[in-house]
Amino acid sequence: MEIGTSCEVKGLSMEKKTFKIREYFFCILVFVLSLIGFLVSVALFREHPEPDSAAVFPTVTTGIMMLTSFIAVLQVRKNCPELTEEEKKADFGGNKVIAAIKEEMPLNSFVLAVSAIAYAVLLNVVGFYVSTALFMAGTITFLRRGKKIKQTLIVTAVSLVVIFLVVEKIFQIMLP
Amino acid sequence: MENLFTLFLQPELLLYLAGGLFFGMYAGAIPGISVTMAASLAISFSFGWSPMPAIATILGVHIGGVYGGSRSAILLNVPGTPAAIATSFDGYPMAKKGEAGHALTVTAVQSVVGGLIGALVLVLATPLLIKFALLFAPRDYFMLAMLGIFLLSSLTGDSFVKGMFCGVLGMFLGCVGMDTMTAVNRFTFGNVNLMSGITSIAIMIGTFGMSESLFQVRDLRNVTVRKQKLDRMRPSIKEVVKYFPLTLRCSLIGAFVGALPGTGGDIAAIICYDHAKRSVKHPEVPFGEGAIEGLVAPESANNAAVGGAYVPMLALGIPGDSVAAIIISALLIHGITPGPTLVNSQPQMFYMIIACIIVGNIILLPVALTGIKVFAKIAETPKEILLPIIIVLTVIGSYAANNNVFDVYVMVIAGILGYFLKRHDFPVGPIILGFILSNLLELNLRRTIAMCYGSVSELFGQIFTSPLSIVLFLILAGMLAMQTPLKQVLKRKEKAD
Repeated sequence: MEIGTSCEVKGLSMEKKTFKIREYFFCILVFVLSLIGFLVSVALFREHPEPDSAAVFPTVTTGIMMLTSFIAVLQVRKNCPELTEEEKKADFGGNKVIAAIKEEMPLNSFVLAVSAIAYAVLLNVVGFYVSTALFMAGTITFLRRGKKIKQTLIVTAVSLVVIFLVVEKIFQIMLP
Repeated sequence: MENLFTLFLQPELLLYLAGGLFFGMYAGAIPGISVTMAASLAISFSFGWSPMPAIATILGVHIGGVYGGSRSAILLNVPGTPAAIATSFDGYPMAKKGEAGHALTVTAVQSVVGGLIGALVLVLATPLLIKFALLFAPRDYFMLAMLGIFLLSSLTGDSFVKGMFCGVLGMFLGCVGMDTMTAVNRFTFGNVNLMSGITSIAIMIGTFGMSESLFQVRDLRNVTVRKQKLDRMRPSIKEVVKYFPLTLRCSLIGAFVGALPGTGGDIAAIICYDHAKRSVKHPEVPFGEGAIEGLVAPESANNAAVGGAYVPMLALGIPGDSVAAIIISALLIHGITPGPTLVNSQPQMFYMIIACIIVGNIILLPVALTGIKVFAKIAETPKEILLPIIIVLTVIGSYAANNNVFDVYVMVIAGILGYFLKRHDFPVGPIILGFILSNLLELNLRRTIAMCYGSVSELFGQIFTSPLSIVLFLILAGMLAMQTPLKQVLKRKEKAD
């Protein structure tokens, strides 16, 4: 199975087979987070119980978020795509939960997201240009699966020069 | 009236406007970079400038970006922006027949004509709406802003419930920080960076830029880069005159749709394409196979919608679309409050915005007809290189707002959250609208509660004794009712009849 792509089993898309598990998980997670937000807002409202206090708006908004996310949970079954008999019989190519995770965030997206987090953290540690060089060279090399490395390094170097000239010299924005 | 010529008394503003047009056009032309993303980046780069050059640049980005999406729609069959989806229906078939140059010329000319008609609507309608706006009570502002969120929630994505969730999520994120009226800290968790609230630019760039990059990188195997042949392009006055009745109708529809809070060029373009199919009975080439009318309708509508979007923004302080929402953010950053008082408190800014929209649409024609071959090369940039570059730009953009790395963290979190929301068909557009309108909504909600002494009966009494409030309330209630199972019951009854 090729890495960095959504899983495919016997030519059939995992998207439909894992839809229910992924959708339920996400909508329930969103509901739980909204509920937590609502409870925190209610606690704030208890400290400031006036009808036009600072706690009213957060309470109303988190309450509506709770309601809408709850309805979204109820609608999951209705929105589930129809599976053909063949699709129902096909297995997940392994563990159902692992298949769902791979479909939810394929390797390319996962690596890019983690790289972006590392990039943001490194900004204050090694500075903008070093962290940007590492990020660009690393992610482009990964997305190309190690091919055309020379071109990747040239693109990275040229991008850094252009950013320096345009952002720092023309727009006068000082980067970390 | 002399304020309308501010733009010409400061010629450097024309350069900023043209620069914004250029940047917006190329950004809009590249699939994966939306007009909203480009405008967000433009705000962050122009943060330290004085207000007029900054606003002129962002307006240029808006006008250029809406047109720019048609380039990749025609050349690559990949709309650069949602507003260009309808353009690809007939634009790409024309390109396949070797008429890409002609298609690009038609879209450029129609964008200009539509944009000018939209600007005319802006000039005529805004003063009327301002007079009307002075009749709005706080409850009316609240209901109108909620109408914008309802509209965007129902028109984007397949699920109104998911759209509403996102709109209200945006409203909630907008109230994080210290309350300006009572200094109460809300959801700051002791973090000093959150006390002044979440930076709007970080949320915008994260949800539109970062999340889209994470989404598009999922499977790069299916991306194909097509090469195109292009010949000389010359606008034809005869063609403009021939299609002018259709252009005029679609521009007026586009300006009206653009003026509705929460809707924009994408919806205007689809509505007008459908209108053209119904009203043009015998096109020379069938729709979907390269009909010129299939380009005239959406392109004139989506650029007219730009002018329309500024009508409620200037008159009421409520954005007509997501880019106008970003412009409001830019105005607020520069200490300018849009709304009915802007024309009196800052007439130069008010008229400069109108002048930029008029002049921007005129400058668009020569800008649009240049650099097609250069664009074709840029559009062929592999996604493996383009997407990491976009992420670097989002980092720069979010940092530049306050020179604070915390905003970069917020942007990355918003981007990852936006990715998962999109993955599950939660539309991210309403998040931005809700965020931008959050202060307006909360202020008017609290004023409304204060005016009715916290009594629900008093509130409804006030609503039902004001004709404007009744109309807004009924529209809101009707929209909400149509999203419930009642809609299905009515449909079934209709079918049975």
